[in-house]
Amino acid sequence: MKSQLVLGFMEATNSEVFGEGNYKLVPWISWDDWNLVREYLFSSSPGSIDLALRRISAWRSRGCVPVIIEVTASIVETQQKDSYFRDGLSGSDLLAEDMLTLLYCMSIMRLVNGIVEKTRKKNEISIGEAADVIGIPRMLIDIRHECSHRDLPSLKLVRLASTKALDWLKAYYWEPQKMAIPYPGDRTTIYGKEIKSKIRELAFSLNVKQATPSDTVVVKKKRKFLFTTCEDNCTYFEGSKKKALKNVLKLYSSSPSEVVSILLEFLLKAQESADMAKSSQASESGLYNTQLDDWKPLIMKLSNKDPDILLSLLKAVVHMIETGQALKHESGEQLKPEHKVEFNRTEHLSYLFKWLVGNLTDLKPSRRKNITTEIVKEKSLPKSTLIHLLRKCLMVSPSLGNNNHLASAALVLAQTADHPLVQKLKKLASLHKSNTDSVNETAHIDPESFYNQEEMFIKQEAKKLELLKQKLSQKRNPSETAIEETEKRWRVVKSWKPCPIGMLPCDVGSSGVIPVLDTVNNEEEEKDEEEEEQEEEERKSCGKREADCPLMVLDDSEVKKVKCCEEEDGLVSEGVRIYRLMIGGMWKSVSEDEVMNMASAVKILV
Amino acid sequence: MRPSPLKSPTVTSLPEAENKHRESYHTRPERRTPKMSLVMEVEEENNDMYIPKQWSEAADAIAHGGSNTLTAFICGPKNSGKSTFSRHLLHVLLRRHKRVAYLDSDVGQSEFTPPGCLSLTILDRETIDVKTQPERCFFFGDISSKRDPELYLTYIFALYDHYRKQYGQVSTSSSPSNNGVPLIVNTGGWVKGIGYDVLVDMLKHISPSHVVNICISAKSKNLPSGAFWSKDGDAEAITLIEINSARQDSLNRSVLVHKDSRHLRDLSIVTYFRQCFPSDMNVTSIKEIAQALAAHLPYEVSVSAVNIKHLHCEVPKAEIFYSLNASIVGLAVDSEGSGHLPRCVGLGIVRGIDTLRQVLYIITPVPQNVLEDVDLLLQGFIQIPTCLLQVHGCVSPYMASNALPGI
Repeated sequence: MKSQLVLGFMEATNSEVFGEGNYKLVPWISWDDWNLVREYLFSSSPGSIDLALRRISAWRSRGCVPVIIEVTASIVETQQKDSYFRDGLSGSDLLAEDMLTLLYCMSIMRLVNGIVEKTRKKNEISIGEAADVIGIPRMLIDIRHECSHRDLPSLKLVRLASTKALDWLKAYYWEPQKMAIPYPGDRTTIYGKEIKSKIRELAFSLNVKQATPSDTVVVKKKRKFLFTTCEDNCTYFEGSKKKALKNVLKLYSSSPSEVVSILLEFLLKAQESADMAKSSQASESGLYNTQLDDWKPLIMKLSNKDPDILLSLLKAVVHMIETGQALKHESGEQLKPEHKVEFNRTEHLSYLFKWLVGNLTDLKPSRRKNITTEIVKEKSLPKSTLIHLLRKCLMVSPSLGNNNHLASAALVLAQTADHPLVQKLKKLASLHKSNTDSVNETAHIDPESFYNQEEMFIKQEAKKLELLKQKLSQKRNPSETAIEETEKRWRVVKSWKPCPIGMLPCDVGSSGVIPVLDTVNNEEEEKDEEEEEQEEEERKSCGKREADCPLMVLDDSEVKKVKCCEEEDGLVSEGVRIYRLMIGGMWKSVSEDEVMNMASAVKILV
Repeated sequence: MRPSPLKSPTVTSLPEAENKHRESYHTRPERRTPKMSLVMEVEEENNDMYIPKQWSEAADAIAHGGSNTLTAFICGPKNSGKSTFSRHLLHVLLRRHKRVAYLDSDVGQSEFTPPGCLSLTILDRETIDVKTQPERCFFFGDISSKRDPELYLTYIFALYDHYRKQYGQVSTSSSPSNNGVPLIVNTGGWVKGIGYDVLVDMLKHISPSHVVNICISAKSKNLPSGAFWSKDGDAEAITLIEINSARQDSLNRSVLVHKDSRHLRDLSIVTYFRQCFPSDMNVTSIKEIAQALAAHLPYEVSVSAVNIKHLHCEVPKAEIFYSLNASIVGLAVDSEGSGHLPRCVGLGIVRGIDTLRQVLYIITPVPQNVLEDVDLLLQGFIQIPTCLLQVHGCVSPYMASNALPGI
């Protein structure tokens, strides 16, 4: 087994070098992280530069930061300690001139040695020559030579050199790397064509009408032709169906969001083409059914293999509705023609949602293939996702006016998820039905239906409040049933969706969510509070004499203690002092002005 | 500095090895089972390993050494065969003693632990074939002592002092000590510069009864001959044995086994984490292990329940999670009082951090009852193997695909 392991290892490392996208281990979690550091490092605000330098020192602790980034950071850091480059440096931050010279020289030496080492083969040419080949400015090479073999150069010279060095570094590494970062939209365009063609293949093999009305006739003819010639080759069709299905699923596993968005495009196009056909034939919305139903076998087949696709589609649809609504609210309802288009679109989307939810119930219970089936038991449709979808659906539906597609979809979702809201939703659905019978036009606001929607909304909010209360009470008083669990420091998680190392699991799809790694501010506040406890003590003693100090103790019921804490807001240090006063038995945040007012009021009484 | 003749320790140099070439000499990794213990049976030796006559004579000489507290210190340049020799010696000693202690100070390629750890392991005839937990282990967090030689020495001395206290023989009986627990100290291959100084300090503190100095034919790479660590006035009677590396070609040049140490380390880390899964589970290739690890249920621990410390550099407080995510940490127990060094129970991979809920998700093969005591996560420079980050369809965000080459 060991030799197998060794061989497998060699294989893995070879592919790492030669193929599969040429991956390289880096200390940043995303290119956005890298880009942020790049912007802040070369900005002119000392706060941003400090953040960038701190982030680079975190990268350094991971052990794989490229030497060129380290060198850039050390030059910038030295410049930040130099009053020539940074104004407002005082006392403790100021370094003596010889120290500055040493720092600059060290950085420049590391720059030349470190970068050149990577480019020249062992000892073929001297470092100076190799540096020239890459294009390092002559000044830096000379300084490196002088530092190693002779006296340190002057501070003025190295200051000049540091500016040159930064410019060269920008041109040699930071700009070219920025150009090489894949733009997020690129992925869709690269894979989009492939995905589109594969989905078309699958749809074609399943006899889905996917062309626009103008070439429907042509397609029909083509298909008829194929049928007559390939009638005997049913197996061929089956085989190609399977192959097409496999292709689409493979694409889904590697780039899920692109596949979902393109599928959505197809479905919406189908609806729109139905719309156009409808306008030419002046018939009712029954046409929606036939167009979308054509796509049903395709969606069903995909979802049976991987239920995630359906859930991702649903999520995408709700998201689109939400953003559409948000945009509408922002821009106001004045624009008439776009309003009509938007309204149609929302109609489409909500109907699509309902139709997709209908498909949910038709899903066959699937068996997931997993390496760890003995350990992990997964349901085919994760309940939490369904509940999340339900919540979103309910939140969006009130703002859509008289649209009851979403409401009925919500009912179906609740039933699938066995959610306690089912009863309430059933009641609402019946109310809706009675409303639609009596109301005909959409522009006219019916007080009853409005009331129903508000009620639904309120119920939704009430539920949220309940959940919040529950969470808070759990935080403060661990419930008795969970006492044993909370005492254990290390617990195995109950369920885990496979996701890459470094990411958090996402409820839909196999790629995870990039975690937000910024430390929460509360910790800083607490720290500041501790530091300023001492200051507070001092102030207390002299408080009684100073007129403007808000430390008057009058009544037990009012001001008892004053805690000062400075709230920092990341880069922007506002320096706003917010005091916390014990008023009426509860800590309340009070701004400085209010405190002054209180203090003056108190003084008058005294 | 040559020791004076009266007080010089006995130097035995054994005859040169004969020019034997056995085709079956395999490289080190294949001799190690996934469970990180020795393949060889106690009684007979694996035909694959080539032990020259010089070596076996040296081992026998040590085994028959008269003193009660037998401590053998093995040193030599890289790839000279120190670990092979010490394993052979281990077997020879186990024929005469019930238990043998092994202090592994090679922090880059350790025998019974994953890389980055310094350990003291007690072995007996039953446990030599199975996975053995070290008696005492410290997480050093790097593959060489370069970054912090003082901390390295502190840990080594602590391990040695522990051995002395627990197993150091104090009986004055002159009978051959079958009851004593001899100690074998294996070292890393860094014998120049700071590495040399570290070795000298170790030798001075440990004062072993036998020192085995393995030399290779490139004379400049060796340690100096003689008692290079002691000053003239040293009165210790130490047996110094100088032997040559095992294989030599027709011109008497040492043929060294070239090891890609980085690959070996990555392999040893992967086999360590293979223990997360039950042994009968069918994961044998690296790809399967990596895939299984991405799906494995991690442990969840709240951020407030553990301290996080980087052993070799200062991480700004606000950046702690950026530094911690997707890295290998040493799981240590710090609760035994401020005077004691934190003892390590194993390694873990921080596979995710949820800052909203303030929890860390950690994958580790350490059993839960042992894990419950862990309250300190030690960060170091042990790199997570890139093969674990590159699962098909599940590639870690730390593997970037558009990095400029040659940087």
